[in-house]
Amino acid sequence: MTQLKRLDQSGHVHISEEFLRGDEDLTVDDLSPYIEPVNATGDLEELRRVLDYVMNNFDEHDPMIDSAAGPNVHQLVDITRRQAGDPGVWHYLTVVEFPDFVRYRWPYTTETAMREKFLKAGTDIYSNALHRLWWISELTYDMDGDGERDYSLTEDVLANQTLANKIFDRWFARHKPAAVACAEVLLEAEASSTVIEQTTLRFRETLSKVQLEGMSEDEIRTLIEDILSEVEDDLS
Amino acid sequence: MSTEEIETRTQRLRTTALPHPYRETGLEFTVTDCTLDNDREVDIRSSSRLIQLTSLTEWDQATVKGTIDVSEDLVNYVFPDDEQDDPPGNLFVAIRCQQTILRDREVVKEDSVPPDEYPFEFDLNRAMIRGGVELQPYLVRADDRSEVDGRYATDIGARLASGDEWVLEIDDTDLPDGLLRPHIENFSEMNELPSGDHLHYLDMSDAERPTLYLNGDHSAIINVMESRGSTGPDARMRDAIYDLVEASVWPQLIIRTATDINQDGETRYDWQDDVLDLYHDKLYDGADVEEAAMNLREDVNDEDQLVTLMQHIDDAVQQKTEPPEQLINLLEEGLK
Repeated sequence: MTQLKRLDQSGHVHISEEFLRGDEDLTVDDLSPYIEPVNATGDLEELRRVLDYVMNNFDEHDPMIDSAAGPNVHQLVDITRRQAGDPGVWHYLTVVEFPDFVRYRWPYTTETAMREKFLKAGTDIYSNALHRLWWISELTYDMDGDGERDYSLTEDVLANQTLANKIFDRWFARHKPAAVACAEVLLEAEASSTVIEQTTLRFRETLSKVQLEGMSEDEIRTLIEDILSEVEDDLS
Repeated sequence: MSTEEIETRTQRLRTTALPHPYRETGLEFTVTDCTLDNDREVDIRSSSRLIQLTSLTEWDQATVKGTIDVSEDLVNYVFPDDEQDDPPGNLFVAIRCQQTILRDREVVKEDSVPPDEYPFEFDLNRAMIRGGVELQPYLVRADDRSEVDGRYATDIGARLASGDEWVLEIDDTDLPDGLLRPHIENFSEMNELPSGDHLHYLDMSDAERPTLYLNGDHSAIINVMESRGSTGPDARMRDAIYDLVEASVWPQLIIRTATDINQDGETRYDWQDDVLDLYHDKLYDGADVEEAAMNLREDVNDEDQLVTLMQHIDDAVQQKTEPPEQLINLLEEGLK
């Protein structure tokens, strides 16, 4: 196990456009004044092995990379939500440990977009390349009968980029029962991108009248099934 | 028309934003005790509904106790006559922590909520929380009533009442990256910064990265603002000066965010998401980020709403910065 570290905000000035494009390397020495240890560990050696395997077996920028890598990121960076809430941890992992993975997964379109994949995190789930995989896994994994983590829903969600985007870019996804119910209903229905977009949008609108935390997962599921049914009727 | 109805457009008061009877402050929510690891009592600031734990580091679990008062008047207002003897409601405390992507609840009373004072007690695991934790009570409808016509709420989970929020401050608030992290420059030496006696300046010329400058020409003030302690006159003065700066800067950032929100409720720049994260529920009570974004867009584009919007922004900024508390601390320091 490796002690995890965080990259301080003041080190961000060294993250140049050339680095984001992959035209410039940053060494640990370059950033050492801005790196400090945190009280958490991760199996970064194994994660390196897994991410290398993923990069060797998927095409560059293939969204299916998320499904293969996500549960591993969550399991091998086995930290608490409190620790995961420190953006500096994710900035260290993307900038120092796995910048090659970030660039392999995400094409450089604009500096802003790429900077987000390296240096966003915090309260925005759908941002930093590794932070988003960890949080989507955290919000979708279940425990099986043997007390082991079951990532089957996580893998299915991450295999459908529209679904992952439309659920986890929305505020309701912070309520785990809502995230799970929404993902399961739309996956079971094999919903198209249009149906996913319309259903999550109408669900969000419905939440202006009901209080999400006041509903059980079954009640949320019923509500989403009703909305899905309406959407399918309207589109047919 | 009542005052509440006048405010409908901004959805500041959900009483009229919802299509059924609702009381935003109908629940009297009181936290009476907070204990760390079962044996350390923590002071509670009832006047500001704040439990401050930022100076306490060695603990794993916080136990929060209190009561929620459900009045007969409230039950009679939000439930129809035929349900008032056995009101089908769920009463709970919503637990939200933005930094740990947490939305959870602690059930206080299920299925039926007649008028009464309901005690609650729950534990917060420190491994699940960071920064600030918001606690807010809700009464929601427990049974479906969609087959019945009428003015009352019909859907399971429909909001019927809420109450004032309490906050547990676990850690010093981490401001979103870069926001309000000031750069100190001597304004007299930089043509692009305003001249004269400005204390601060928010440079929005690069809309992607607004930058706050403090005027290094005022070295005595800057020395205080750069002080690091948490007690003593410099710390008190520093906090009060920062409030002064924030009172000017946040409204600019909120208005700029509002003008950049598109018809899908999306912002243009990353920092604007951070502004919404910080202010969504303060600007539009209890609203989530997406709802607040749509309301902000609507309000800033309606000239009839601008005065009300500015009042709400001022209110939200004062909720965040709590200037009386800082000034009282400063006054008390001066009296020593």
